[in-house]
Parts: sequence; structure tokens; C-alpha cells
Amino acid sequence: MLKSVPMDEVIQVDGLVKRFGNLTAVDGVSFTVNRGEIFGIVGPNGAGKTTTLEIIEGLQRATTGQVRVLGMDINSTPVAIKERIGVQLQASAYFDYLTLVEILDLFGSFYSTHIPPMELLEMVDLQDKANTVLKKLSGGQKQRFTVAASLVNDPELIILDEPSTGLDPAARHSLWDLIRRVHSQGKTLVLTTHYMEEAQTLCHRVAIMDRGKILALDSIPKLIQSLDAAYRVILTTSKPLDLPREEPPLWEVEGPADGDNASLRLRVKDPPKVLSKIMDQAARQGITIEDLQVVPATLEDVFLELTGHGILE
Amino acid sequence: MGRLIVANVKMMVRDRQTLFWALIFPLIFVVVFGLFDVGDPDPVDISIIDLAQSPLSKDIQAQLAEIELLDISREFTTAEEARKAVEDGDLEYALIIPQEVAEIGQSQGPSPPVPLTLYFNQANFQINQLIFGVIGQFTDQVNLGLAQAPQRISLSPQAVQDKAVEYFDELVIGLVGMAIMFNSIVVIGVKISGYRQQRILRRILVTPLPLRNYFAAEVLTHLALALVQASIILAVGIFVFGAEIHGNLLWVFVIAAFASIVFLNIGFAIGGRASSPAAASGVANVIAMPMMFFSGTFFPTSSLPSFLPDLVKVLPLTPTIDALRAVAIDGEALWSTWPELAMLAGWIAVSGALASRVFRFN
Repeated sequence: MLKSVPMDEVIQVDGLVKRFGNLTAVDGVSFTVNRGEIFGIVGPNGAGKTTTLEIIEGLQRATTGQVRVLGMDINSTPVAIKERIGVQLQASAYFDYLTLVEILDLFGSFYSTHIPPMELLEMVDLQDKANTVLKKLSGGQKQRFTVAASLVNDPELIILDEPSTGLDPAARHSLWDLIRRVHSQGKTLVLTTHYMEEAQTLCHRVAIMDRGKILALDSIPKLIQSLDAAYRVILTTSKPLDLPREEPPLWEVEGPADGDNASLRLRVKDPPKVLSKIMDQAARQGITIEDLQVVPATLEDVFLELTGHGILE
Repeated sequence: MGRLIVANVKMMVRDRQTLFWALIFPLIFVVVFGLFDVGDPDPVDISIIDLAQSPLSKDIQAQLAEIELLDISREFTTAEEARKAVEDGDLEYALIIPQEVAEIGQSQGPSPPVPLTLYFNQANFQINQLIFGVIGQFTDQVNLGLAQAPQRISLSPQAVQDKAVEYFDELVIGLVGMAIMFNSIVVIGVKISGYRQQRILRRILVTPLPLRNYFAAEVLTHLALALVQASIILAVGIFVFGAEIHGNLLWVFVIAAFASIVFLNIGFAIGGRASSPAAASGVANVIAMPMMFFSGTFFPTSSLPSFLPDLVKVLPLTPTIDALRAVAIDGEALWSTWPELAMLAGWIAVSGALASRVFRFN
């Protein structure tokens, strides 16, 4: 297939810098988001994810750099952009004393086009709560409602800032379903998260951000393939297994042995070679292998390798 | 914007705390002051112990009984009993007519004056002055009567105000001013800081709604609330407690709405900067409370310590209440209050500039 057809770029960010006094929150970030994809920005708190989104949303001004949304410059046509995007702010609330229908009606009235409230509530499975005031909803229901509210103007692009933070696993899974449903309507989504699992299950492409910079940007399989060691071997033996060093090294020990019932976690580039070495050594030392797993590396591993620290550190 | 106003009204009605501040709080003052009878002083309890039991002493008793201010009880029979009752607070005053009164007029020639003893409690300072005056005047008359001196001059009191203005009338108008001030400063301050803390304002900021529409809707809603407040306070004051408002009520509403803008601006300034609704409430009360007391809500500014009135005159609530009283009590036309209105216009400019300067969205 020819790659000459220009991709429809919904967001173009070029050399974005945002400084607050001496602090550089966003330090020269460039990326594009294509129409119809779910684009994730992952990184720890303070990485600059929210600031980047807020500049795209028009809540903050860039110190330097260019941002275009739906082909329009954010500084010259902010209102036209706001008409066509939907935003869920991080930890944002709505009026406590209005019912869900009233809030959607009110926010709908701010836009030139809007979807009927009941249609939105059905999409997020809150039609039973239509006439309940927001105050009385559970955390997961509130979060689903804020997604519905971000869809009120039938936007082409939806920006969700940490949509699943603070949700329990069940509520998180129902939110993921909702995001997939919204995506299936042909919408483009941008979301930030510090849950690697969330990015891995939802996003087509992911930008890994740390300390104001994008360290890597690609689809998840490609990010994992880009690792020097793209597999993990998890090994449990009856006694600690002594693995002699190879030159050049075939593995790297990631996790230490665990008590008597030794277990090892190895970073591995070439699983077949490593497995035969392990079998060999086990037979020679008279050790029984109790469990052996070969798994692909995860986004978390990519993050660790790129930043040298965990996402929650 | 119409929808924003409708939504605002709904929220206001559903949020009981706002309603309390806006409507019930000032009404409590109306009711409390309405129930106190702050007009004429209440009669005082006085016990007369007549040790003389003479025609003159009985005459004195009968004449004292005619003074409306005195409520005469005969519960006590000895001077000591009565003195004890005053000491314990069971009785307000005790007047002792000594035995010597019976001897007055029986001997020829000058005799030393016979003292009537009045026991009183020092705590009731103002009432005491009144009672001393009343009884002193009474003894003078008795003396003159005894000397058979003709009365040459007499006092004929006449009130010079053509309309009977009572303290309560003034107070009701003062409360209207106070209520719109509290409603605007405290309610808006707490509300806006809450919206900021919950990021509701930022959520509105990412929609195409022009911000001025949002603020205009807030202002219009609260102006409407101010007028409802003023109506309720006036209605309860007039129809329940019989306050008399002679002036044009339309002007009262015009001034109330105009002044409300100043206080809304102050509320926006507080709400736009305070870190939390609790902090906003604190700051708002620190600003509103002294104004409530110093700007003449409850008593005239002239009774403040001498260095204060000039300072107090520039507080925005002072011209508000002055203008309200001028049109409501003195029946003046709206334009005759132009110095107050000009001052309020100045305040609108200053407070508006301040609010837009200090306002932060997060």
C-alpha cells in the first residue's frame, strides 16, 4: 500500500514549551494525533501531560511552539476549536445541585450543535439517573457522566485527562468499554493516564512522557519491539539455580531469588537460546524446574527502560 | 444566558445554605427586633413602703400610681424586705416614705426636708436616669403644692417630626442594606471559590461560552435574589411588625440593586482568589461583619467613637443605607440621593477593577 495519502491530522503539536517561572513543565514536545485513533500520553505525575492538554484545550498559553487543532491555530481561533472538541478535565466536577439532564441541557446550550441529554445518558448507561442531582452519584457514575458531558456537542475530538484515576477496577473496566464505544462512533480520543495497563488496552499509539519531554512515541507493539530485551522469563526452581554468565550476555536478571523456593525474573532478547541454557544448567545441577513462563515485555517495561524509574516514583 | 440564569435559580433554591444566608438570616433580625419593643420603655416595677400612713403619704402614693411608667406593687411591707428584693433583683425599685412625712405641716416654721429613700439597681443605668427624673419632678411638684406656690411656667412637649418615625422603621431599611451586602459578598464569595476548587469554572472555560455571559448571568441572578430579599424583609417588617415606610418602594429596589453590584464585585474578588470556600467564607465575613455594625444598620453612625464616622462614611454599605433611608423613610426622590449614588458608582468602578485584577480560574 502506498503511504502517499496524507494522514488526517487532528492535533499537530510542534516544539511546544511551557515555563512557569523557573520550572519548565513542557520542554519541547512535538507530536501529531491522527483522525480516528485513541492516542495516549503516559507518564508519572508532574511529567507535563496535563499542561500539554490544557494548552491544546485553550486553558493555558504556550510559552513557545505551535499547536494546531483540527487544522486551526489555537491562538487565533480558540472559539471555533472549542465548538468542535469535547473535554473532560482532570478531577473536574459539575454543578452539585443540578440534575444530570439539567447539566447536559445547560452545557449543550453553550454550543451551536448539541446532542439531546437522554441520548447521551443512554450511551453512558445513566438514563435511570436522568433526574437525580449530581451530588447523589457514585464515583464511577460521576466519571461516566463527565464523559457524557464531554460529548454534549458531538465533538470530533475528545480529550480525557486521567479519566480512570481514583476508580475501582470494576468502574475502570466499565469506563474502558465506554471509551471504546465512543471511539467506535468514529471519534478521535486523546487521553492521559499513569496506568500502563490502561494505555496498553485502549490506545493505538502512546507517547511516553517524563519531565516535560516525550521519550518515545509509537504503537504499543512497536514500542515493545524497540526494547533491547522484548521478553521476560519467569522461572521457579526447587533450589536456587546458578546461571553462569555468558559473553555477550543473553539475559539480565531483573528480580532476585525468592527464599528457598528460588524464582528469577530475566530480561531476555532471544527466548529459545535462553531456555535451552536454563534446561541445560538445571539438568547439570540436578535442579527441578517447577514453573517456567515466557511473556512479552509490557509498556511498563518500556517505561522503566526509558526513564530508569517506575511510573509511581 | 437565559438557561444559565434558570440553572442558577434552581441551584440557589436547592442549596439550602445559600437560601439561609440570603433569606432567613436577615429575617431573624427583623423578627428579633420586631418582637423587642424598642419604642417606649416598659413600665418599671416599683414598691412603695409607706411608713407614715398619713393623708399626705396616701396622696403621694395615689399620684405616683398615675404615672404610666411606674408599675406599683404592694408585695413588700417593710423597708428591709423591699431593699433585699431590689438587691436580689426581684424588684427594680423601692421607694420608702419615712414616718417623718406624717409630721410635715404639723409644726410651724422651717423644718429640714424629709428624705424619701429610693433603692435601685445600678445596672439599669439609662432607666435609672429616667426614673430619678420622674420621681424628682414629682417631689418638686409635691413641694410646690405644699408651699402653695403658684405654677408660673410649664413644659409642653411637642414632637416636631411630621411623621412618626420609629427606630424599627429605620432598622428594617438598615436590614435591607445589610441583607443584600451579605447575600452578595458571602454567597458569591463562597460559591465562586467552590466552583474554582471543583474546576467548574475551568470546565466552562473549555466551552465556547463567552466568559462575560457567565458572569453576567451570575450578576443578574443575584440582583434578582437581592430584590426578592428586600421584598421579603420589607413585607415582614411592614405587614407582621407594623413598620411604616412612607417613601417610594421602587426607589428602594433601584438603590438595592445598584448597591448590590458593589458587593457582588467584592464577592467575586474574594471568591476569585480564596483557596477554598471555607477561606472565602472567613474573608467575606471579616469584610461584611464590621460593615454591618459600622455602617448604621442597627444604630446611627453618629454614635460611634469620634474618629470612626469619617472612616465609616466611605464604606460602601454606609451610602447604601443612607440612600435607602432617605427614599424610604424621609420620602425623598431618587435623584436627591445623588451624592450617595455617586459614591456607590465609584465603588462599582473600584471593586470591579479589583475583582478582575485578582481573579484566578484555578
